Amino acid sequence: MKYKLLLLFLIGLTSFKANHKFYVSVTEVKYNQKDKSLQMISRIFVDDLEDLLQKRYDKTIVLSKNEDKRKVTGYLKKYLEQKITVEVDGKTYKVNYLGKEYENDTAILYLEVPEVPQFTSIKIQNAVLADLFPEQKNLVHVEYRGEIKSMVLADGKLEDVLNFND
Amino acid sequence: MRKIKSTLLVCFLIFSAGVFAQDEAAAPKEETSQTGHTNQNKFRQLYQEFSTPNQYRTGAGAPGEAYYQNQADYKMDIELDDKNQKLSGYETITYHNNSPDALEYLWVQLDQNIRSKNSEAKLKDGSGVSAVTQSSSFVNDYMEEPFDGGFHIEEVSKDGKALPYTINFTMMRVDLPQPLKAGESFSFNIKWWYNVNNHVTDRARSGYEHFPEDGNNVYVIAQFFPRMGVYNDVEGWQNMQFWGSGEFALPFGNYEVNITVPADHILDGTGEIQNRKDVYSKDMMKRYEQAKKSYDKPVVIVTQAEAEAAEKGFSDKKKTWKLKAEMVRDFAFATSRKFVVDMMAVKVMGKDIMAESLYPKEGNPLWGDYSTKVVASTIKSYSNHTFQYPYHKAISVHAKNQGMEYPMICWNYGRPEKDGTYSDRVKYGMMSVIIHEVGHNFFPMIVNSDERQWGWMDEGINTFVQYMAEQEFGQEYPEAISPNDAYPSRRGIPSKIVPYMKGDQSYIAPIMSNPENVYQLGNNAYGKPATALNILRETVMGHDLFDYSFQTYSHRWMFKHPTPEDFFRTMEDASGVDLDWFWRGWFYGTDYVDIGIKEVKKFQVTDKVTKEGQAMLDRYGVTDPSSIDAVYVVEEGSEEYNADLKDKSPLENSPKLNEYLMDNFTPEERAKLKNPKYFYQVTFNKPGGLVMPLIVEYTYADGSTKNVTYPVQVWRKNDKEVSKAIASDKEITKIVVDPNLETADVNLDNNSWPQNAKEDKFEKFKNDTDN
Repeated sequence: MKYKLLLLFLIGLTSFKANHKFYVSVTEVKYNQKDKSLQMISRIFVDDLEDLLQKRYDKTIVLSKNEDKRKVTGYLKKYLEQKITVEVDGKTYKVNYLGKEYENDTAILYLEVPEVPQFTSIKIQNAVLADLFPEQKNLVHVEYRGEIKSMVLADGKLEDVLNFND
Repeated sequence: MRKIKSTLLVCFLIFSAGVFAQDEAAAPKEETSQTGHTNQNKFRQLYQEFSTPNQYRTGAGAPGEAYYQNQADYKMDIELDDKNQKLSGYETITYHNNSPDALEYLWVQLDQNIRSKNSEAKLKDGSGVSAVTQSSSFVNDYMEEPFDGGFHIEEVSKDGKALPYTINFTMMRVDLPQPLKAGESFSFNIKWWYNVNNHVTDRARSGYEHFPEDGNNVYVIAQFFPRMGVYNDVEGWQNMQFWGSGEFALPFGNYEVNITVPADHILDGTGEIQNRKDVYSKDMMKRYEQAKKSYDKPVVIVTQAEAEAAEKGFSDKKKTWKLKAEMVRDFAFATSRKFVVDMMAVKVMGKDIMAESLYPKEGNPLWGDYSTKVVASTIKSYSNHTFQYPYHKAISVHAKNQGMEYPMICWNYGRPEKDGTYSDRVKYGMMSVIIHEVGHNFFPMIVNSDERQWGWMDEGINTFVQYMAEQEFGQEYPEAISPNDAYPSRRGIPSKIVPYMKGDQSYIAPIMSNPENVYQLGNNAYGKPATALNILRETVMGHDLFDYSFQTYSHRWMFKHPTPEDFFRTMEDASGVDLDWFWRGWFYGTDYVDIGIKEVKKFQVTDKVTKEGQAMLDRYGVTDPSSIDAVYVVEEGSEEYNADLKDKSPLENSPKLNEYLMDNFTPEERAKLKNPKYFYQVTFNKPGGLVMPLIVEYTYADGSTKNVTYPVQVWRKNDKEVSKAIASDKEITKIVVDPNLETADVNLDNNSWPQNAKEDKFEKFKNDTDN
């Protein structure tokens, strides 16, 4: 008990941010009524992502238009499918990494969760980059039947539940 | 939630309408009442938001006749202990009270205390329990003693007598023997030391980077001495502590600084080196003289080979570098054995300025190729948009992960791989951060805004000028950005701010917020204000009016302390453009732009009295339509519409109009008249809260286009929608709102008529990959 309290108290001890460096990702999740799938577009800074792949898997990895596509895709698939998880109405669904594109310093990642029925509650974990940057913030917007709800995942709380009631 | 609310509202309306009807039947004379409201018009002036102009700051946005600012002069002896990464100093501060007020105490800022063992800043954020923690951060967080990085104040004195002082976190109050009267000066001494932190591991603005391969450190040192706070007419003493995000508020002053470092270090910092011949070798002096005359490319002052040799030195001897600076608001320096140095001269409005770079070999070849050129180009661009750069040099220092600005010197990231290769991202990241940080010399180092309270006043304005300087760098050095045609700027272009502005309102704060209290500082203080100013320049005001006003603001507040209102007021005062609606929407609120086309109706001209026309005539008491000269319109597709009329001209369809023309105009005059054949009513709607000029592109059947910009005032009486009647001699086939994406419209689905097939980004990516 004591130990737990100590943890609660100390976990905010993240280091101080240097200027102009912000650790934020934004993920848009949209339920596609036609395909019965959750479509995700996630935007992450390329340098952070590269840093992560180098530290976690392979020092030689470089993210650029001329990158080693097979290797990068393999690592990203492994990483993202582990760090982004989706539970709908209490049931866990498989997240598939489809691919990515670059826009200046941002990587746009595409992920999909197929065969998801209508739901009232969705639980999303997005722990991307939190293993590297303690101050990483992951914003997740979920659009379901025209309604948008959001969660901010940060400070050790890397999953949250959104309820969509009719 | 929103849904429930509107349903309730509808129920309420129907219900109250029912009640109203009953009341009317039962008691027809009873008065009904409506709730009133205050002025909510988007174009109302900002009297409530702005402070009242006074003798210190005028309604025009200029310094007033009683404007004052206090000054702080420093004489400092600093010594770096490289072996123990410890910095110590003795300083004499002379504070000049130019205010009309007597000061009982002085506030000194101790910013390094944010790194003291028991710093409150470590507890400022809320937290949860993480299921997984990296072992290293677990050890760091829970097992090691916290780093002792705060100031150790050993003496605060005047003329050998101790002065009483009280330290409150990152601020120190020094109590004066008697109040410092208006016009008086006060000199006192502070002796201090602190342990320099590793800025790479704790991502700080100041500190050292350690290179284990050769055992050396590269120091980039700032906020390192007790600094005077700002006292002024707006805040009194700045009493907001340094919590980490809100940066600095500092008075101007003159500095004489002696810095003692190991004899084999290369150092540079704010101000002019006074003893260059003592600290430079003969070769360095010779090359320095060459650099003064080299306007096209940098001259290397310390070569990479020389720096690599110095790395092995670890001299026990010391050397003192003497620097002197006038009218600067801060002082910073960089020092290491590892520094390669290059310099080139740049002529800025007829004056020679030295552009300079310091970098360890790890920065090459990227830094040798570009840094100093980027510095030179930046100083020129910014001077053109503001005022002539007043200092004699500008330095860019390479430090890992850094992007931080000080007078005449700044730290910048951008490191190639070990083999010297680098991606475009690293290259443009490095160029952009150098442009940004060198640009900070103008905002806030010279136009000295209060960063502690307003992040956007330096970051937003600077990011905006950065955008222009990036584009101009690309034009000056096309080979440096090839194969791009234009510099790939990250911020400033309207479409790039859309994902932020359309995001969840719970996590968006107005630009006019303190940097400590916002969710996404990068978008809040940099991206959105930069984009807003870019839109002002490109779309709302135009270059001429904007540039004149922006230069007026820069000149008025050069070497002074402006507030947000001073900026807002000057931009309007110097341009003759009322921008209260723009500041209110973009800076004081979180609304976004969404303007669309609701419907387009096509009409034909006819002689026949239409039902609607008859109804209108009835209202004016005209019973016999044939008694007046009138033309009627009938909507295409309506029941009164006659398809036969379609291919005929309006004059054929309305003989009466033809008669009127023949009776009242000569044949010559008639030939000059326009002959519109197609009549439209276009209704534009505005689901977004922001008002913006209505930019419309009309495309005609012959493929030609016409662009019309309706002024923002079209929204002044109806914030929801506005209709425009259009008479055209050619058929309109397409209408697009904001065709060049100038306004940061968050929803493009409603921008076209006929409506474009929606393009879903996700579906597009999926289809592209499948193919």
